Amino acid sequence: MSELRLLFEKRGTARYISHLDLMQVFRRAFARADVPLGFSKGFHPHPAITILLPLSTGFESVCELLDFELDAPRLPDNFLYKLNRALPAGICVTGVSESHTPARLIRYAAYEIYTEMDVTPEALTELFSRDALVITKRTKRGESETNILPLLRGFRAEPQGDGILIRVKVAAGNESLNPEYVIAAIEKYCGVTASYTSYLRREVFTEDLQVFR
Amino acid sequence: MSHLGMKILYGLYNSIDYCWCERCFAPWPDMEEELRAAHLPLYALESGDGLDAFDIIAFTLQYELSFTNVLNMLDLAGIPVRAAEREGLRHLVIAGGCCTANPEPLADFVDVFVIGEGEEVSLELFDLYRTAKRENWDKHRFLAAAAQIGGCYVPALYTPHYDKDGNFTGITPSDGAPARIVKRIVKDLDKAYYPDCPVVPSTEVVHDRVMLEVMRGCIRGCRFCQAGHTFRPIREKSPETLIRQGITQAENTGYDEISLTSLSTTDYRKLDELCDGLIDWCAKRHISLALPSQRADKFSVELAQRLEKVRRTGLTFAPEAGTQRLRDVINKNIREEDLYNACGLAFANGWNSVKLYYMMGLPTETLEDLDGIAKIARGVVDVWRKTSDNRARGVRVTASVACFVPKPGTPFQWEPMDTVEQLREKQEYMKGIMRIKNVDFNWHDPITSHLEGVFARGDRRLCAVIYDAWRRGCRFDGWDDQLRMDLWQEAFEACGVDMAYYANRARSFDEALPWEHIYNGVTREHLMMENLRAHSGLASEDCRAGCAGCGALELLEGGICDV
Ligand code: SF4
Repeated sequence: MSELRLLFEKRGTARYISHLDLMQVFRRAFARADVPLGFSKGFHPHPAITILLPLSTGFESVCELLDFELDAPRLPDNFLYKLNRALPAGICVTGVSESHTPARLIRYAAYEIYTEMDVTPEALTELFSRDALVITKRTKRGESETNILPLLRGFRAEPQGDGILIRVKVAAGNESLNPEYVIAAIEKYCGVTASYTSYLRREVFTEDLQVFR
Repeated sequence: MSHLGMKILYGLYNSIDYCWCERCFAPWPDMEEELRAAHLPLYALESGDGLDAFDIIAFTLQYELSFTNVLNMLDLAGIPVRAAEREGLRHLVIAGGCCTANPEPLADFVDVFVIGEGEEVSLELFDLYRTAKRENWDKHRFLAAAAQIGGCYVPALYTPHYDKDGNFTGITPSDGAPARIVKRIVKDLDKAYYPDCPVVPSTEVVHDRVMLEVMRGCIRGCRFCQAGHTFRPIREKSPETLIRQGITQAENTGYDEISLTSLSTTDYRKLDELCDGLIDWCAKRHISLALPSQRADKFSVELAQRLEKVRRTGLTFAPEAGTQRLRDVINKNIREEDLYNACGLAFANGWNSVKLYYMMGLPTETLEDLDGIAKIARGVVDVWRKTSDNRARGVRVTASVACFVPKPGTPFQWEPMDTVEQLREKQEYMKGIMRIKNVDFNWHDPITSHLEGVFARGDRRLCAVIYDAWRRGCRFDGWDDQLRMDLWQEAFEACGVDMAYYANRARSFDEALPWEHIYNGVTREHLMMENLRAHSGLASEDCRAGCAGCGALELLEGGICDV
């Protein structure tokens, strides 16, 4: 048995597959590709698959990570080809490694947020250079007023097509910020409503902003 | 997504070189709103093409309360809902499935009903359609020719008659259409098409697993059961075929469960051989084998344990009625001792939950029969106390009580259904007597069953009601949170149709029934005899113990039932 880590993309209509369903999708894809998975012990054995940083349903990503246990001495030939053939459209595995970097070292996730709303990129840059942006954030203990700026890194906004493209790193892992709060903050402080927004996760990072793998 | 018939036909149609078949499901009202707001047609899932781009639109009718969805889906696709308003060969609307035991309430909307198993007949129909399209036939010519294909019912070619009191008296065909439409069946299941690779959904749906159909038909003859009477004769698949199909499907889909499906899988004669052939293969791959329901008299712990080798699920039994007397009336031949024995064995071997399914409102039912349901629930808990190997874990007994709806094609097709008030009263009574420790009591408001009862034995006068109700906004009537009984009431009133006439009225044997030109293979004589036996409290033997000559084997044209 060896522990392996997949890097995969989740694009297009696959963005609507929820986190729980995605585990099932992978489990079946492994079975169809005839790659034996390790199983947990106990009364209800289940396949040892972990998706490192659950992605909100509806978001796209090019940097998803999945750990699995292989119940074979080595990966079959053409592993990526076989697995990708067995996965639904929109989900594509781009790499497999033996990395054992623990998931708890994930600190940031970089997003590209495309949004259509009645503000200029300059106004947004100004907004995000303030001292504090306080919004109502849902937490496990209920709602709380939170200044989101300490949870953000490197905010950039530029025009794109009919809208604005925002690039930003948000806290991820233990203390995390859903990038939807970035849009919520803009809506609150600029008094606008986004008519369309889409999210793409680009990369995950450690504390010192090294790419996490 | 989980309907087996759809999986079979979808695969079959796409295996034909000239045919391209896609799936489409009724959109939930929020999606409907978006589609209408965006002026988008309802579209097929594979290509995204609107339904109006398809030659033929086929519905599977699994439940009477999906009838308004049929109209709504056509309308969402911009296709006229009434058959008479669809000119030419385009947008031919066909339908099959168990509700075709009485297709009359949809007669105005559907061009061709396929009666029975669709594997062979739909291909003959498509062939004819191709010829008609190539040679530019008009719709009437095509329909008249389609009516000559066995199992094809073209409602437009039939005229119903009513007497001065409004009672149905009969139906006459025209254009050479047959007076009686005989159900089609597949004679040899081993040779029949079975999909190698059904569509695997990426989001969770019910019954999401390999479905291995082990046989068609049922030997039991429970008198309330429509499938048990309309899916005859009995045909089994060989274990070799099943093992091959099960392994192929599991390999191609990646499912972790194989379900052995049929109306009564424990009656499959070579179940041991089948399990032997699959269990080791499955266990190695962490695939579980499941039986959807067990019969208490056939329950074997050994079998259950072998099946549950990979994952253990709860046990379900369906005694259907609370006393032996009533079980004899409905011909559900399960004895209380069998049930207790089965539960005892299961509890002793580590099970700790049992689900029991019942019906209320059965013919001849009294309060004593309802008391019996509570008594059995208590009895099962007692058995657990005596037999459990681990009492600390506790036990859960769930009794679900559904409302009985008399169905066409069964020995109870003449019976009056309990009124909503009667059923509600009985439910209140049940709620009182089912307050038992370790027992959950599940029930459902009878209003949906009432509507189901109206349509199950309806005639063509209900077409207008369905149309009217749909126009008023009715859809997804089988969903409690969507059912608009107020709108249905308005529709029935506007059309001058009385619900009780259809649901709550006893029919006499002399009466012509609006669905009797649809012949499912079981003779009227057999159904009548079974009805009389029910009222005398006499159970009948199953097909294996003694063929009752129900008529179904004639569909095999010289063959005999595979009992
Ligand atoms: S013909 Fe006989 S064996 Fe066959 S289904 Fe009817 S009663 Fe059963």
